[in-house]
Amino acid sequence: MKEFEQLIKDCIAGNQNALAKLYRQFAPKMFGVCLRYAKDSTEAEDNLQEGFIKVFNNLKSFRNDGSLEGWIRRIMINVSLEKIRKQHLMYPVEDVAIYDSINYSDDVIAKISADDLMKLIQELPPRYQLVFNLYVIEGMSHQEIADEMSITQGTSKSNLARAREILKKKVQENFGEINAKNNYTA
Amino acid sequence: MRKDRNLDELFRDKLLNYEQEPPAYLLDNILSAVAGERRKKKLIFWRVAGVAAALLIAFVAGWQLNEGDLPEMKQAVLVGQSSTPTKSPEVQIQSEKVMPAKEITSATTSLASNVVSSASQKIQSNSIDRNSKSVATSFASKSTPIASNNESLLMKPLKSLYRMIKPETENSNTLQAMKTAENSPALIQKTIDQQIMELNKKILTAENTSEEKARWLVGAQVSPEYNVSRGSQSRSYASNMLRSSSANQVDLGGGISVEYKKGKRWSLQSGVYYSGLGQSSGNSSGSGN
Repeated sequence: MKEFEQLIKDCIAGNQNALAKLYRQFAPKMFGVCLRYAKDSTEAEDNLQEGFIKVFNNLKSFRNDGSLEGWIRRIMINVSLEKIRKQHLMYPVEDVAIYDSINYSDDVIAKISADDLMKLIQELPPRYQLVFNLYVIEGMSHQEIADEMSITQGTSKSNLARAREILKKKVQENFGEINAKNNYTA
Repeated sequence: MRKDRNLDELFRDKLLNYEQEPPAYLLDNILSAVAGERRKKKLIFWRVAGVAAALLIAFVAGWQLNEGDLPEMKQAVLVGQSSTPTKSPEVQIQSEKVMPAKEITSATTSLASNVVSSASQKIQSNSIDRNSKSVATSFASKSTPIASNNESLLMKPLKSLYRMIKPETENSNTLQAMKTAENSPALIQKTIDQQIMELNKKILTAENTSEEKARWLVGAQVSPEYNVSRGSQSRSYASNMLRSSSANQVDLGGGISVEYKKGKRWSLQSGVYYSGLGQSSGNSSGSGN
């Protein structure tokens, strides 16, 4: 954390070089975050730009006792969520919480690249994409997602199940064999 | 060895630390946007500061203007009555101090003597009894062009008139007195105000101790007038009640008075005084009294 202290001070002072350095340090990772929540790279770029402007304008409020990367990531996610909130309604979808799990072999996994998976996620409907990202990648609970998005836990679970169902089909279509089947709930 | 993984793990492992280089132009956009925000904040700050400064200046200027104008207005607004004519303060003071001034000159300090002697010279030169030129005449001749000035320059003539009424010789005498005071070690610590207060005190003492002789005084007065329309009616109504030539206009009034001073407290005064105040009403349909 100490390594960023001086950099943050310089950024707060308005030093353009410091701002550029901080950007280059975190931009690739944050662009990956934005891509997961966006429908395409253009929207992700918009979110990244808006997110970094917020980061630079609010660096004073960052406390050095936490993770700078985590703080920036949270801002990027909030910007993405805000955009989804504005653009799309979170339709409640109930009673689809049961999901047929599938297991993939290492051979299949090796064939699938991160870019392929990213593309699959971007093709999801926004509400499914959102819940899937928050639950599976960010590790948030349904309660936290429900609070964050002002929806019920049931809606969050349903959206997650739908997202999994769609992704499962797409993986099967694109990459072939599915190894095993287990039923479990979200 | 085959290790099975479910869908969630697959996505989490592959995408949690996913990185991709964003387009280069984004950095420029972000930096320019941040710089713009900062400029905007600075601009807002300077605007607020500018407005605050302007308000402060306006408040101080207004306050100073009011403070400066009020005494002049009070002196300028005179109500003319022939039985008790109002004298301009300067003339009144002069006429009352004709006799004691000579006595004071010998009793006061060098500074006081300078001031008083100059005052007595001024009185002598201004007195109708001894000199042919009167203060009133000179004031009137100087004031005539001012009185005919435009109405929009309302306060300007008042100020200049007030400056003329206040003799410049007083200022020069004060300066002379200050110079004398600088040379005098006893008075070097005293301020001008203290010296004037001391002088006034001595004048008062001299007046009390002097013999009260009955005497005649003839005086002339010229005083500026400023018509102010006040009333329970609206300002425009009250203003219309004055003649258009006299409403909100600086004018001059004047007259001659004769005073017989019996003693210190009693005096009989009479004279003729002209005042330009007038009233007219063009609304005959109203219920006038």
